[in-house]
Amino acid sequence: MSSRSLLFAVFTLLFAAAITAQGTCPKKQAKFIPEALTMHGELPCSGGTVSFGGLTISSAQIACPIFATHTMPHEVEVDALTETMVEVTGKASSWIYYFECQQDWFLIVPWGSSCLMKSTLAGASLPRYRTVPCGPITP
Amino acid sequence: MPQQESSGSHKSTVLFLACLTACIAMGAVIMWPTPEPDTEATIEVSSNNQPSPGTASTPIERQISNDRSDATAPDKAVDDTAPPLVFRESVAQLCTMGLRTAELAQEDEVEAAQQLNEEVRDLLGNVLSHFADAGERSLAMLVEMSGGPEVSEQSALDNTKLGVLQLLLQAELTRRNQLADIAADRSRINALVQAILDSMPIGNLTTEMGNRCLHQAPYLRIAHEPSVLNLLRLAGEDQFPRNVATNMLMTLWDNVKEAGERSSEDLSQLAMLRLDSSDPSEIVAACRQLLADEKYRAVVLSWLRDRKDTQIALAIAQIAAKELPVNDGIAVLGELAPLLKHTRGTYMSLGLRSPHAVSEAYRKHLAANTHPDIRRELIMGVGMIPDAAGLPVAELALANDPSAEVRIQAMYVFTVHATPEACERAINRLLDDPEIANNQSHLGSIVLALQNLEKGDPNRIARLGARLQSLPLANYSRASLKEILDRVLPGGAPTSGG
Repeated sequence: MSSRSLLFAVFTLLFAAAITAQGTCPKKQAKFIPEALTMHGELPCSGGTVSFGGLTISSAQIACPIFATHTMPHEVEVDALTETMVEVTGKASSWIYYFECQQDWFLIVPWGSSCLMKSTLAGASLPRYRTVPCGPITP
Repeated sequence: MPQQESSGSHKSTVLFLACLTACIAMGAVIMWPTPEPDTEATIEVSSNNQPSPGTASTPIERQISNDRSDATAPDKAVDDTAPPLVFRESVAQLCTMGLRTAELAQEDEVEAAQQLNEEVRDLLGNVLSHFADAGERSLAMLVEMSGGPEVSEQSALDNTKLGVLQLLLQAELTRRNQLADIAADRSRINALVQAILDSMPIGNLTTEMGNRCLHQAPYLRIAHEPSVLNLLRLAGEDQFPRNVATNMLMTLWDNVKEAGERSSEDLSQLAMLRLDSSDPSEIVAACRQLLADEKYRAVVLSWLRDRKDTQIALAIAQIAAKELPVNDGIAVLGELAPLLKHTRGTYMSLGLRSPHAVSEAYRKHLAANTHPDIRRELIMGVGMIPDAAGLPVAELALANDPSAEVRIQAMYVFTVHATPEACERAINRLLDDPEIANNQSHLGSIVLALQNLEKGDPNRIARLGARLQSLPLANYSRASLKEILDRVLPGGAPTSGG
């Protein structure tokens, strides 16, 4: 093989690799999702209803959640206009807090004390991503 | 609850607070036709004011009778020698009794606690009978407390006082609402609701109290629309919590529809217009209104997908999961799935309402082998609720789902609801799969699941930890595993590397 042919073959190979790399780039980037706490369900903490003075108040107004989901800061993969992709850098837990009523037969429920956290569990794992450029990986 | 007021506006807030207190007090005086004592005045109880049994036989009728004559007589026979009630002193007494009740309960003196609770009930009834403006008085005391520390930082006495004031306000709202329905006159209930709305921007306590008293309650009506829109405006300027403003608008729309003040069609057309609003609270309320109407549901879902706003999509998903019929909620969440990636737990409200419906939805997706992201969320939605209703479908997923992510989510269900032995088998089964055992991201998820086993048998964690250490863990997973083993094993994590 002449040196010219060898040069042509190397050039073709590099060009093809570049085209392939560009074609397989997923064009994705990491989008940060902040921490979030969401309550689910309602526990009637005062025995259904509260009655006094000829009045009955719905206990739905005095309730604590059955459980709450606590999503820790993480990233999701979203489309990008640039030649980028995401790389996993870690894992975060999504926590679930289970609640129960406190003092459920009392009329006066002090603020901040009607719900007791019964247990905490890891409910799922969430990815931590970073955006990296597509293309040949350099050492 | 985020702090609403900057330190720079402290003076104006104090001035506004003082004006509002004065207005509430003046309003209370003006609202009642007969002379009413000032805030601290005592009310003489006279047996002459007691309604005759023939004229007031039910509690509501007695309330009307008391109101019309501005009577202060309680339902029971009145002791002429009893000292007159003073509102503030009564609230203080209720606080003391409430705290003592809690102490007795903590000391397992259940009978004594219940007996004292009955005395609290009697005193609350007396306060309501004696003070026809108990709502305004409670609100004035709340406004005085506003500007203090966060709720979580309040003293036990202050938190008990807030509980008493909330109870009195809710009782007063209930009483006036019932009277308004009977007398076909909402002027008194509307005035108190207006005062509560006006107080809400003052600070965290008034915001929280307004939300507790008015959200999902039947009191907000069309007369309050300008005030609710004002809260939305403040939320748009970051001077008021957005979620509370949204709650007020959604409650207002529910109530005006229920009361026939606006038809569902009118509200849907109004909601269509609100979709163009720049204010997220209005958009969420508008989407909720349109979702509830099957005619508009497809329109709003299409609009949400085009808008690609994940925060609004999440808010709508949570409303759909809570309020729509369960199968409709599942369908809506499915439509929004591309916008709800990794918003873990969105399906849990649906799982709580109908584990069966969520399980069936999973089975259908599994049979069709479609939407692994949705299958994973369905497994979490039914599997992580407090009872074990989702364990059978998690077993199905672990054995049959082709998606590793779904099977890993099913394993999380095992860590919560299955026996420890079954849980260990489930984790080992996952690790036997080369697709999982050679994937650092999957292995990282399994390491984090061990946190749920920390309170169990340390030998089990030691065995699973040793197996995981022998696999190609990422550095971040190896560090997490070491932390878990250090917490659980007496000598900490073994030093063998993987």
